[in-house]
Amino acid sequence: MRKTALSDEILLSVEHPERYIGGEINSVQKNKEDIAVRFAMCFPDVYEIGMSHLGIQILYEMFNKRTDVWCERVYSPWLDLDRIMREKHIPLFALESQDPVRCFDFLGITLQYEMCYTNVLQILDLSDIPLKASERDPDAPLGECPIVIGGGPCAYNPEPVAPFFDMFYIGEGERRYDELLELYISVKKQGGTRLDFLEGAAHIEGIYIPSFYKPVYNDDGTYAGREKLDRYAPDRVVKAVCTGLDDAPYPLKPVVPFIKVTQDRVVLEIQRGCIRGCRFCQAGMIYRPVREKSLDTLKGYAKAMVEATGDDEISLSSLSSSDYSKIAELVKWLVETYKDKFINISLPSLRIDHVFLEMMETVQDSKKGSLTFAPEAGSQRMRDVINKGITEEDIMQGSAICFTAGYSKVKLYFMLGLPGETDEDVTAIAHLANGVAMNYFDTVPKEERKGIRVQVTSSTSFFVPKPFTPFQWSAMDTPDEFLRKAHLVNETMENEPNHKSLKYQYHESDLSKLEGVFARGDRRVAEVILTAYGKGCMYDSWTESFDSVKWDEAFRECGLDAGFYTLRERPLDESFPWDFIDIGVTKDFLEKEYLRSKEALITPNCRDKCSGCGAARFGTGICTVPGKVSEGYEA
Amino acid sequence: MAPEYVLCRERYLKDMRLRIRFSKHGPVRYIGHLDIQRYFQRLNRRSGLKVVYSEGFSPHQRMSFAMPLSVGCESDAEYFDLEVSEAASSGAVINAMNSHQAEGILVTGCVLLPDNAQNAMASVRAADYTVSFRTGYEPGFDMEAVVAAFNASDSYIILKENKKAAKKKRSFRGSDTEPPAFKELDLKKYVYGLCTKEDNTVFMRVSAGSADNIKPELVIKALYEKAGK
Ligand code: SF4
Repeated sequence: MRKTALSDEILLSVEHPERYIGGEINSVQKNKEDIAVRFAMCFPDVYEIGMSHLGIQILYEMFNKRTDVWCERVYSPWLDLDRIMREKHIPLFALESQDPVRCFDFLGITLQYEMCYTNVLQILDLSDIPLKASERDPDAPLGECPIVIGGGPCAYNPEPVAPFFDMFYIGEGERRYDELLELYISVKKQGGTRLDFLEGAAHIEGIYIPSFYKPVYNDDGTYAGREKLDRYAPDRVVKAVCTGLDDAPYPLKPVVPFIKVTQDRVVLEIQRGCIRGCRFCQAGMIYRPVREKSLDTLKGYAKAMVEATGDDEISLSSLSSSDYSKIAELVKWLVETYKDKFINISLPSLRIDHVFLEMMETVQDSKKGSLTFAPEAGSQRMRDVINKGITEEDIMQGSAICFTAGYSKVKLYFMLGLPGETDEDVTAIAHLANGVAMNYFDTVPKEERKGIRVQVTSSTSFFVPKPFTPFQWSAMDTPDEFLRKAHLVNETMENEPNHKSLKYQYHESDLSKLEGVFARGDRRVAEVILTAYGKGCMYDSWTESFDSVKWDEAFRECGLDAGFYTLRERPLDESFPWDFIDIGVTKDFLEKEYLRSKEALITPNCRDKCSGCGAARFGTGICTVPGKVSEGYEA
Repeated sequence: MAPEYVLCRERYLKDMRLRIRFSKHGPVRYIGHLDIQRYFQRLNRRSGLKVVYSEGFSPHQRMSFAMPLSVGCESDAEYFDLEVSEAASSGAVINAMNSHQAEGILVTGCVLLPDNAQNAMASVRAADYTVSFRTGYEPGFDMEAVVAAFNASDSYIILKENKKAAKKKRSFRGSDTEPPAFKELDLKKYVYGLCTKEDNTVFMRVSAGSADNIKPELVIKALYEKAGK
């Protein structure tokens, strides 16, 4: 029987000990003696969140398919265990073998959101790995201290956490990891050093070694560029793109947790990327071009995964499921196949129209839950600014169809603080919500309402400009301005004729400020993260542990102004610390899109018309549809 | 090994109620009761058992557990009842389930229940426990002698928290007829067997089930009291 790293006493004293025991269904056990590379794959947040992440499951499957690699999982110990581990000097361990992370060859950390950055430090600290890569001996033989490698969407601007990582993998993991592992094995065999390996890895597409560069700044504090410190440091890093998604590794036997986690179902990734090009959306740019999986592939996945997990729900995953060309066919097949097997089908991120409703009717018998629309902005002008191709008419038609079908709850998602937003755009959020409620009364005759009151819940989140989006030049609102706008929405809503049917929710703004700094920050920000961590900051995305006072102190002590990163509208000729990464989509295209946004000009989606964003150079997905890619696009 | 029963739908022409026995050892002892239920729901599906589902909007598997096991306890025998529409034999059920288990959980028995059988929960009368002491936490007294003294006594009155009364007390608020939150209980009546073993463990058979459930902690606490600790 496996032994746990934690004693009975500790396991009995912490919340949810199941987080730490491993041994879940489909978790992989191997014999360490037969293994060349031990890889610890970490999601720096609590188990329930980390276990819900598809990307890690994909890499877990891919690595463990190799007989010479054993990939294990690591998550952030929750605050209660964190305290005990520090007190008793218990090293952080991986779940499968329960062995300390320190004795692994790699520690891979996925960066899914900026607010996990202090948890990255927690992971390194508890693993007893020096927090800064510069403190890890470059001349030591490989295997002495794990190579710390970062990935995920936040790695597209790695600079704020660059000092903590030996390397970043930019792009899709399916593509280049084998090459990296082979290199590691051969350097280790030859008795090479850490530096030997890093220099070799610098040649692999998608790999970025931060210690090979030194950022330089202008007198006004803006980023000027970088000096190369190593002879093998390349000029640019091209993101790794997976070209044949149908043949790419996929977790057909995903790990099934003992405890209930956020994503507790079979997840089918139906496509990667998005045709839409919403101007605020980073995922929509960095995952270009859109690539679909074939129906047969997905059917095979569903069958295998249901069998291997025993899950009772299948969920589709993609940035915009309605844009999958065979969505109706897929849903029909899923429903027909699983209807008598007590397996539910859930369909997130769908556009609400007739096709959608037909699908919903087949999916759930007569349970009418709530329906979600994401107009993102209240006024049509603002929706054009962000290139959200959805009109008020779409929303009204969509909600009318739903109301007629018996739904009475609608959720609306908006963003506040979008570039160029006026108070009129802000109050338009309340008007739109009111319009949807009114639409109910217009569509559903009184006798059919059965005493049910329509409920329209609007939530707003604060807009944070992200790198590699047309808004990467934009200024962000101050926390006070955010709150003022949220109050304005609230006030307007209270004065709407149908205010009794309207509900409004918004999130805190301090967190957004920090997210803004990390998203578009440079390497100097790392010092602030380190300082805040030293003050005890951790789990910043959790309200119970977020401490804005400590963060303010950290900025002050490091002599950095958060506003420098968030509040400036950046000039078009400013260099960005992330410019060296090549995502396919060009800076030129982003700039054009930024300028078009200022004129509220819509840009067509990839299916309607190619806009020549640059992603076609990867020669895959929608860009390869004959006659699709054009040289440029007219303004 | 339990005898193999032939379970055949043709013979019964209706859904069958099976009583499943399983053991739980090693790290999986930290899986709580609700999660064990979820675990078995998934296991049943992975094993391809033809489980009967309830009617209604959110159908669930017809499965009922005998008793929750405290987090941290290992067990040789836990029980639940499961309704299936089809099953070849008890051996087939056991094999199917055990080929999809997590390490440490094992189905060790499966029998077909007669129509008039009480459900698993109502069938529980007693439970056997073996209490072992962690290094550094061994009793600092002669356990064997204390156990012998306990066994020789006519009665052993303890105060047991009266959960129902404790709950009521909150709703009574301020009245002077508050029922006591603790009730007196003669532990001797509920301890059916108690002895020490050579490996320094304490074995006990105590009353269990929905009526008078005695947790092993209660008995150990009594022994420590008796030893004056
Ligand atoms: S090159 Fe054209 S089709 Fe391809 S992703 Fe860019 S805009 Fe879309």
